[in-house]
Amino acid sequence: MTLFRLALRLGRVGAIAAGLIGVAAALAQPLAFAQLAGGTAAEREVFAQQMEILARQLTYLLPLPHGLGTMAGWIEWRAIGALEVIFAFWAVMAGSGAGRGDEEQGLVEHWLAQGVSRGRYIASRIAAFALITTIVVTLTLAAARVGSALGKEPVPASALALQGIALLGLVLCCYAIALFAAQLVTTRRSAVALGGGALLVLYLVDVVARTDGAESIRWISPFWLYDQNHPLTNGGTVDVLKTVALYVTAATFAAAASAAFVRRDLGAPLLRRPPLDSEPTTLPASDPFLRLPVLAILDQQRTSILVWAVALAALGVFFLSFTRTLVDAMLATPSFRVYMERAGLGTYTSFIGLVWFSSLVLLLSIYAIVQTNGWAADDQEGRLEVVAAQPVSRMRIVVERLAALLAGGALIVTAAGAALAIGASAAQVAIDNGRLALGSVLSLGVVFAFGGLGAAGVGWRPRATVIALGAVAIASYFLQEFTPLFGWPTPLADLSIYALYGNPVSGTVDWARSTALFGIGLIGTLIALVAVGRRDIGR
Amino acid sequence: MRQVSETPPAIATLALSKDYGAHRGIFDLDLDIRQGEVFGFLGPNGAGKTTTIKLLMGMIHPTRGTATIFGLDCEREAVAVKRRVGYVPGETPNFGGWRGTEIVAYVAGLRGDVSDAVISSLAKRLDLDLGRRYREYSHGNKQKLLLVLAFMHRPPLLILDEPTGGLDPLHQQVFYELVREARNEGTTVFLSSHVLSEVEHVCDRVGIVREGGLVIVGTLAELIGVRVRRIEIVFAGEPPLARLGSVPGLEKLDVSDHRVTGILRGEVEPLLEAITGQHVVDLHSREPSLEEIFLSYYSGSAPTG
Repeated sequence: MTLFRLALRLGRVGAIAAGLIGVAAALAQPLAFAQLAGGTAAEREVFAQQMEILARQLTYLLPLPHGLGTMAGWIEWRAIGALEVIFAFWAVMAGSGAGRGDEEQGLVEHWLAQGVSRGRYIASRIAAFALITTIVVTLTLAAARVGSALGKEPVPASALALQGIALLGLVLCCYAIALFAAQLVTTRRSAVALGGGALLVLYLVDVVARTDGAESIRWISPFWLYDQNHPLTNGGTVDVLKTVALYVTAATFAAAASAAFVRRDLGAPLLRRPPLDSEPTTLPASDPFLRLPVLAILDQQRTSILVWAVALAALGVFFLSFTRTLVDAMLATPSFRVYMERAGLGTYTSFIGLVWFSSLVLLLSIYAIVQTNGWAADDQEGRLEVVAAQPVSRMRIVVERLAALLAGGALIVTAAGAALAIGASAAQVAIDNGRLALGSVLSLGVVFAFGGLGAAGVGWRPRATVIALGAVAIASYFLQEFTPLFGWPTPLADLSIYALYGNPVSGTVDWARSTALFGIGLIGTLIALVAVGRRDIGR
Repeated sequence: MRQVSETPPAIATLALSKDYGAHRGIFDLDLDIRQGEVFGFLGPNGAGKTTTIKLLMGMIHPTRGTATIFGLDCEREAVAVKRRVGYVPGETPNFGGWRGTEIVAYVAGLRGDVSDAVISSLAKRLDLDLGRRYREYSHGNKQKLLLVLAFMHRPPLLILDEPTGGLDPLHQQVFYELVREARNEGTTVFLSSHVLSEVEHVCDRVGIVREGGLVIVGTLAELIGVRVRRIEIVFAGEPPLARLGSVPGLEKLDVSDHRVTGILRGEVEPLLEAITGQHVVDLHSREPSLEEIFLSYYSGSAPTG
């Protein structure tokens, strides 16, 4: 019981965060629907059409909608649909933490040394997460019930319960896959990469399936299995077979992870490579980049930069793969055509400029936040102390970090831009490559702004800075997306940091705003340069 | 006119303080470490050793006071200071999946004045395979890598925070050799430790720090000096406790049957007078070990002089 309580305690931060997001989304969305959808059948129909258009643009983020003119349909699509990705991310972090993170910190060794069996340890972690997830999902759906009641269109509790059963199955499935992936590697970072990567692939299978693709393999994706449930909009039923499949998959991976944990050595992966016959060496690496300013940092990050570049390039090509069909289909429908032209989405270029680049700047912000998190870790894990013990000024450390961030960002943006240009050519979508290049270069302003703010804050409150930057990125993205959709006042959209980026690919380039974006980065950098000289270094 | 050449001390601190609150930190530290000497900085956990070292390295800022290294201010001229210093931090950092080869190449790149031959020689002597990933290293191997990073540019000053932590006895001996060689080449070594045998092995002078304050500084000979002795007397009959109790400087008396032990500070004459006329079966007088000296400074009744 002590071990179980400990496991609950270790999962509390992620659970609180996921619970808060879930409850907030599930409570706010029904209220938003009640305010925005209108009261008459005609108003509801118009609203549903507009949302249908948005939904088609967001199939990479949200499931396909059903019955958007109803409260139940809205909750299923907008409130709970958005939680798929968020809860899956939470499950990956929790699974990798339980599978590797605590082991890396020596906690597992300590507990096992107290006489706890390995089977009991891993079972307590799985059971604790299952309990925590049940609580989080229950609270989330209870919030949806309260929200819909406050919106005067209460959704049946039984339907929400069925949705909860399916959602719980999905989250447990993601957790079990991440937990199993953690047994195959040796560090938490690798566990996140492997587990997260596997789930990303499975998620993308579902995304493709949402546009009627991947028919032969979509059944392997737990996200697809989950998406087939529509208890809120389909007469209150779930697809029993697919929901059972989710739980069976979760149980299978959890059992495999448990067996692997019992069998493997602590600190070692389940499958060990045979030792390489490499001669011991006492010489430093001959890689010349490691000895050069900025390039040394890029060299250290080469794998992650490559992954970012390939992922964004692939996403760009994927986006282009359905752009032509989607835009053509929507323009062919008179009611959609009016909306598309009003929203400035009437051409392929404008669609790419608005939809793809608004996603790109969000992803680049995440890249900058990940780097900021790395700077915080440098300090907490003693690497900064080793660097600061060399004859380099603290200011140089800050400048090099930001230069490497921008250089890495430039490589990623170049790869994404090139892939987009090639993909556009292949898809016979005419795109102005000059504008594309300009849009790509200006997107570095977003990287610089987040990097500068991160550098300024990281020496002061490392963890809080990372969380605050994440909140700014998410809030900015949704402000930009929802303001035109819901007809909110334009100044509200201007609060978004991405408003400073604008739409340089298909709209007018606002140089003043672009300069302001780089100005934020510069001010952050100056603050960081002053702050780094004043702060203490070390754990 | 005679030319006066003044060599600045390797390390000098004046009222150096770092106050973390609740009596934690280091307070009013005055140190003067000459060039070429090996200085041992002794103290238990939490005494302020690492704080002092971090202040010298410019990692943390003093609440008040100053610190200089070779006459250079540790705060304002930090880059110039670090050019002259090799440093082993008190806690091993986490370089994750980096290989040892990459770490030394990266740090050598930051320094710019490092010979690959010196790196190779150090790694060979410490029996360290640089080809392995850092996370695969044992604690001892991580410590060896930090020693390579500290010694590889042949600095005139080594600041080492508990440098032998995790090293096996064989490689501790290699470390002592490296320190002796460095001293023979004129290098100053500032070494914090709570391993007394280590300090006895290599240090010329020792400073003992307790609860953030420097208790005493002196050579080993001064600390173990003849004025402090461990006394053991075996009497044939009952020990003359009243007379022994009145001997100036005789402390920590312990009586077991006819055997009396204690520490004598100061002259021997009063003790001999006190036992005159007694039937003494056996009498031992020896210098206390550094460990006993060290412990005496931590017992709460720190001796003077």
